Amino acid sequence: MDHSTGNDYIVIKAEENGVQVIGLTRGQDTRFHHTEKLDKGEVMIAQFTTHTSAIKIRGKAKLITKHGEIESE
Amino acid sequence: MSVIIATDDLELTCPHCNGEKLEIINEERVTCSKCDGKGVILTALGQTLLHFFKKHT
Repeated sequence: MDHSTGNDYIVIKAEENGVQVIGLTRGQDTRFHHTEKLDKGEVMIAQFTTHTSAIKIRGKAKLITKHGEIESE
Repeated sequence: MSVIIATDDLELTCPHCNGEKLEIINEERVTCSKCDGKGVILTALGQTLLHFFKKHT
């Protein structure tokens, strides 16, 4: 299993206005440390880092990860 | 050229407490653990501006 943190990333394309991308902290507490608002058509490429171990997407968006493609609603 | 920054560009409401700053654990209202009781989460632009103002005040 790959435990590295600095080279994995996901691509998020918003399919409606106001899609929220929320970064959760690495470690014992999973707090929200960062958020970003995407409008329709905007693309964000987000990396898992030493600070971010999880990413939460709210709203309709297309996501591309190394595991495949998925759509959020 | 004028630049207009909306509040949404700086911060978004915490989706865990919906901006209430509190959550209910064991029927007790405690500080929201996800946003540290702020009720909002800053964006990259929000953090950049905040650090800039802190640096220059």
